[in-house]
Amino acid sequence: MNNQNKTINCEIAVIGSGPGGAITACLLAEAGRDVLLIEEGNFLPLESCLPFSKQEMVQKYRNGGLTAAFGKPKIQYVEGRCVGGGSEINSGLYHRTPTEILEYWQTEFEVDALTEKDLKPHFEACETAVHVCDLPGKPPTASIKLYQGAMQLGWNAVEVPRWFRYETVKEGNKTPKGTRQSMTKTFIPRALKAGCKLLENTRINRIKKKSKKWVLSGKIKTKYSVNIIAETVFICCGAIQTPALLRRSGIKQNIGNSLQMHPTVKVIAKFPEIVNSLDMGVPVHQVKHFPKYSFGCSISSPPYLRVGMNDYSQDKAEFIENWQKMAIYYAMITSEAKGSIRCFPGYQDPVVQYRLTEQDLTNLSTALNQLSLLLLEAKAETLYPSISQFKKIEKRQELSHIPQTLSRSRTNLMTVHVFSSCPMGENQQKCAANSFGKIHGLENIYINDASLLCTAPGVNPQGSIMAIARRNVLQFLGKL
Amino acid sequence: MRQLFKNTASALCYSIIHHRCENDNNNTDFPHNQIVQFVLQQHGRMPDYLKLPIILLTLIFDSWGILRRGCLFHVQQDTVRWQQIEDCKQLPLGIFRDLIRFYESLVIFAWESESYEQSK
Repeated sequence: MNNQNKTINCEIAVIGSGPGGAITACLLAEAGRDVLLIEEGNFLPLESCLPFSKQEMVQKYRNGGLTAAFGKPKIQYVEGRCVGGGSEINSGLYHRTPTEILEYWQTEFEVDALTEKDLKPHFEACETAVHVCDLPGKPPTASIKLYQGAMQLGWNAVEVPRWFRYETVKEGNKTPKGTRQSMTKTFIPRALKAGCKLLENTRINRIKKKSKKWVLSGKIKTKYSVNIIAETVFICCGAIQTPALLRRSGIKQNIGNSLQMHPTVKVIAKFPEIVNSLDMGVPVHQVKHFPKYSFGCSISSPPYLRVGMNDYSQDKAEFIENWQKMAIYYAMITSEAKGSIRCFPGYQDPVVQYRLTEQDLTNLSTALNQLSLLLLEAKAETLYPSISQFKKIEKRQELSHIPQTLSRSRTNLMTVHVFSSCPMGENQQKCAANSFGKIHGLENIYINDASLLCTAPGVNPQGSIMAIARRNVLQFLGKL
Repeated sequence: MRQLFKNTASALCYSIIHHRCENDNNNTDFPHNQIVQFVLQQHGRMPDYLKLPIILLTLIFDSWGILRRGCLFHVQQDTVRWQQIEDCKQLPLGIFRDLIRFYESLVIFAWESESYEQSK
């Protein structure tokens, strides 16, 4: 071993330290196994930057947040690249996997032991570990607006719990502040305490089987070569990077062919009264009334608001004068499209493709229309949909200006939810891994992250990722 | 080529700052280099297969100034530059609209972040 070419031996290598990888490493280490947790990004405290800031984008997002799935329209997505992965940068909103989705996965993908009853203890354990709780005070006003609009229309709106520890608020009319219970606040410290070793700033480029062990080849800090020799490997790099690593390593059966996401279109609403502030925090309401789409309120800090107003450049003065009366809302659909992840020689980053169907664009349009109706019911004065060269909406009659199918060339879409690129199940025609994440046809290699979710869950996926990761590790340890 | 790209990116950033961000009375010579640096650094962080296309598109955009006004975009006067940016947004080729959107989004985000992060 020297500085230029390092070799490390371990029993179990876990690649990726997001919600899937952190839980995997933690439970394995606590069971007394020799675990090496490998992360491409830095190990930074949660407090190293302001949440949802420019600094956070630079420190903790892959590619500075400038990642997009190609297609028409293209869809901007984000991934975390730091110890803790996506849990360090998301809003921390929590849902269990809907029952009907679990039933569909069991039927169509033949996933064993995945009923609501099977998953219940795993949900409960994860909810305790990351302190899932309701907001103990008044939600942000912009969030309440969404709820009020839904109530006016008789639609089902819910306050979504978060993995958060809130400070105590004496005055009930204030929105409490708190700390996101990300992986660096929960499972990573537990893993390290149990003896797990952490190798940060290390990118694994390829894995290959050599006799009965796996050899992971990579670079530390992009400079020094490293070979990690492990008896067992868990790949937990997320729905984009997991299939990318596997495909670079020549493992391709049902890998990276079925990516799904929740395409999201945004609209900025301006109200007659103040709904926003510099410390507004994370909105907690969502409208879950329709089977194919849902609505919510986004982070609405001035930088995000102003960028969201980019399509209405003549409204600079409106933003400067009225940003405190404005907030960003979103309509998110469960898409029927499937995307792909491919790697090309000479390039480090994988190319992601995702082609929305006509039905997806129709659903997005309907969702945008309904969300706009809700916001007008909530007494919004002006709406700015994120469609290039579109007119702002001020009256209910103007909702008819939203086309029945959103334009492929003018619509600006994004997502923060990507999954299903390596689905689990016993159906080997469709699935990359078995019901517990072991890759079909290979020994001692597992996937344990968002890639395994068979289809889009229709809700924030981190709750599903954590519960399924816990279930799979306990199965590996023979504790199920 | 690299320097030409930086010059053009810088000119684009300053035009966007001047027309989309600054107040009229804020008109010093080069007060916003940190915004330009952020945009160039973000370009450096992009997926590797996107970096070269962004450079090439930016250089094509720069050369378009020769066809329009007889000189490269980045050496033109501010009002002429802004007109070229506005015209580019109306082009039928979505790829050039996306290029301007790329610069506008980063510049505006960086601009607003400065005051936001200071106020926090």
